[in-house]
Amino acid sequence: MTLKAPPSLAAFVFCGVLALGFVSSAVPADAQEMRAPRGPVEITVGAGAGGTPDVIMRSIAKIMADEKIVDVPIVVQNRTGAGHANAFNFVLGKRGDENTLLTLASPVFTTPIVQGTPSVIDRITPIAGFIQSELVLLVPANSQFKSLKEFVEGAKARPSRVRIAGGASGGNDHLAMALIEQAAGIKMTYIPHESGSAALATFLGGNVEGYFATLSEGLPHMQAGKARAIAILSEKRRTDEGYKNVPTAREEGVDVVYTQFWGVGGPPGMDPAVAAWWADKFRKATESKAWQDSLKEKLQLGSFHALADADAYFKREQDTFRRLLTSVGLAKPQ
Amino acid sequence: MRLVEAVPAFLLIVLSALVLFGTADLVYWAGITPGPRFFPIWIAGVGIALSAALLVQLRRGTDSGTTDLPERGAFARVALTTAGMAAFVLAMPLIGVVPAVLVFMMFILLVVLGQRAMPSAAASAIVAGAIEIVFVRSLKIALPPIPFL
Amino acid sequence: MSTIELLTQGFTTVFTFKSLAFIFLGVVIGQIIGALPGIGPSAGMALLLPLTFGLDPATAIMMLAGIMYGGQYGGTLTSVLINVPGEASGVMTAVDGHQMAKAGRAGAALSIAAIGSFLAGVGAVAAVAFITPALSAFALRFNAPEYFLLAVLGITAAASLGGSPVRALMAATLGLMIALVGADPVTGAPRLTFDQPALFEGIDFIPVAIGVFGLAEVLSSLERAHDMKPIRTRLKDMWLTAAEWAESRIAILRGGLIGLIVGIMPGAGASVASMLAYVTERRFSRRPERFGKGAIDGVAAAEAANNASAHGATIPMLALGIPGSASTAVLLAALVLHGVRPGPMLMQQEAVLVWGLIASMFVGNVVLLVINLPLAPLCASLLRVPYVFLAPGILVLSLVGAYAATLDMGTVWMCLVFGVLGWLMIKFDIPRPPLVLALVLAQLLETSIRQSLLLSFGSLSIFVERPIAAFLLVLVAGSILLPVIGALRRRFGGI
Repeated sequence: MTLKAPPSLAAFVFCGVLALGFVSSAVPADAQEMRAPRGPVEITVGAGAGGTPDVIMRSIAKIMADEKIVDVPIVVQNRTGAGHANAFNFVLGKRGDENTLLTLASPVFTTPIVQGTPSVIDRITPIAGFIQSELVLLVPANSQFKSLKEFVEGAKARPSRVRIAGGASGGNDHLAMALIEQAAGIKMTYIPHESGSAALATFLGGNVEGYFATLSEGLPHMQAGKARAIAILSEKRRTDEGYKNVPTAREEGVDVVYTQFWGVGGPPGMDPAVAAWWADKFRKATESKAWQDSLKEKLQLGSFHALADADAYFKREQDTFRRLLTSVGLAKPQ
Repeated sequence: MRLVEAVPAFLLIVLSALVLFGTADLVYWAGITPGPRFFPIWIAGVGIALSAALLVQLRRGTDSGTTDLPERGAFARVALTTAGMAAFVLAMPLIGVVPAVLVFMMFILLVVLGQRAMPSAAASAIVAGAIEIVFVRSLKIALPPIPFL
Repeated sequence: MSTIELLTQGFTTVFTFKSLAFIFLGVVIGQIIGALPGIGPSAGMALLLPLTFGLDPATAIMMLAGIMYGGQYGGTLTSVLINVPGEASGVMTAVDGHQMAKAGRAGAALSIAAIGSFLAGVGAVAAVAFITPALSAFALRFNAPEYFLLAVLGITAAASLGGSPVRALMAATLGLMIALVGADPVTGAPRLTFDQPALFEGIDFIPVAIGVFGLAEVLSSLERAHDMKPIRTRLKDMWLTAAEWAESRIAILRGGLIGLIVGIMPGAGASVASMLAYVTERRFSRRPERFGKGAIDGVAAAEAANNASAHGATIPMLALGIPGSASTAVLLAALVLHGVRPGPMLMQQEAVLVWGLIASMFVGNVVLLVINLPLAPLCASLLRVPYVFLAPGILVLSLVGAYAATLDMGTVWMCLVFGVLGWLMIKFDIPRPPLVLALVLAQLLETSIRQSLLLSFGSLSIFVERPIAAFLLVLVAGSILLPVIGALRRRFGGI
């Protein structure tokens, strides 16, 4: 997720990210002492089986095993409940442990902010942020809104009458909507659901005006003629068939860039050499053909941030989450 | 009406009050829809009304329920079993699931139910073995292992 | 290609040694996982997901789907035998099934469950094969207003689940109160969490069901430890009688239909299906007073419904890419991991896989029936073990199962607390089924009314303008008014 900020600052941050990313991936093994953990490793996922973070971790663990990048056994363990708190509290409680990794998804950032508990990101050992997913705003195929411009004008003309179906309050789609509201100076109605797919059902049933989808989720519904994409919340347009004609929100005069991302961290006080070893393994796995193919297939991005760079990246995202959650009235002061 | 029969009604009234009190900082109505406190207020209200209805029925003798409190020995067994379960839950992460199962089974069979030693030991071993084979070996569920092993 | 040709093609995919072997493996694993309290089919599928990586997508999906519906058969075993629901949708089976077991009719309960599951399952798969596009369009017409009225229909039925309506409704209220705990489903504000992060996502259904049913039952039995005899089970009682079969036929049909319809709705799952089927059956029954005391038609309806629902949930998954249940969400994830993109184009782009899956569900249900019919008397004989030895074993299985569900000790403590609560409910004669019924329906009830009013900008007309909602509204009004009118007539009829 990149923050909406004055263009100059955003550009500066973006370049900074590129530069740091370049440094961390260009300086491999010898810059940082590396040591492999011994024994089986658990990757803890706070989402249920089948959730996006779960699928990502199972995919990358499979590649690490298949391509013999990591030779210790890896188990992906779902510790669901309490907005990923069961998962992150489990990992936070294993100070110095070398055999447990935490999957970083947005609830790991947002749950402490919403509950007013101490930040998780400030305490874990950052390892890598390695996958991002762009969001696209869908409208029903028969919608009167042919573009984001018309969508915004419609919302201006009838405040709070444009409805967006999405997942839980404070989730990525809620925050994306809040960003658009702020940038365009409009007010919409957010209808939260227990899951993204329940919201998709509401959208496909023709009950609402809009829905935020990931690119791979949205494409089949566009191909089936049920939905139309009016804007992609990215820096630049996609080049893929199906999305190359979809303008970015910025092109449509709404200055919003919002990308979901996932990463991995270790328990507090993890040996820097082990963290560096893991960062290296995640980099190797993400460079594999299988991973690159799967990114292409799922229309995801693979910008890679490791260790200190990942730390800065996660902290920045955390600040953005806090700002957005405060603006929608969900943040609880500590 | 025996006072003890009214315990469920009083408990539900207390819980209803707790719900009202615990949601005091939330809003009843939010713009165009019920707010987070809408359901709590109605549920608490219904809870109090139902409790009152039960009290009236008990008073008039029109209630069809039968309160069946255990005598002392039976109550002691239930209390001991519950304490045993609590100890089992505490012990699981400390000594591992299989030893905890063995100790818990032996405690219930020998102390609470007064069974003979040999059949009890056999039953405990079978249950502990089954847990190990099904949950740990076959399904690979990360139950607490025996430490330092 | 016509549906018959596609289906024939599907069967040719299935009738290879490899496919059949993996379908068999899937349903057997599902049967075992379903029987373990705590770990439901969806968690079991996730556990075994990595094993499917070596397989081709079609075989992997067939095996995982086998776990999904095999779990529905397996959940019956522990529900009937020891009153511990193996998974959420087994609660209604436990209510009457365990009473039958206590009366020595465990074999009959398990047999009718297997037969009911099989007939409803096969019927549902036929619906998947022949009318998926129509049903998925129907599923999309169901949204918040319809869900709300459906939940109201379920809650009003709670009053009838016990001897005294006041006591039954008190239990339901308690269930609703438990459901209030956790983040508010619409605004996300913490509610009744008392600053405990563990309570933020609310109190899960699994520990409540295991505690209130399984643990409480054992605690109550242990009171009479000195005269605990094994439950009387004679071999001739193991099979279904002709009268029992006659009582169950229509229940299976009704339960199966309700299960299918609820199953295809993305917002309601197998537990809602089995509860609605159970209370519907009770309403249609000529002797509703037997429900809760060992009514075989109650078991048949609940089991038919939960299996039909498990299969029905594949309809929105295949036609729209929307999972209708937790298990189908894992199936979708498995498709993604195997490089298949789910969505509305799936049935065209992956016809071999989709029709192979549909054919495999026919085969899998036959396998499960063949396994379960002889297994029923065999498992029922387990109750011949003296109860003193079963009792601590049930406690251990319940607590370990609760831990396995989330790998969190908090869940186990929750389970223990609800065990004591359930025991108190038995002692004070407060019926337990309305509590779990209300707990399952509460979130649907609260979320959907608030979503409805957001959709309609605060106007209640949304409940009459939509045709299906209007129809349900009539049903709700009838279900509330009829008993009231009946009571008034009984009271004043003589005057």
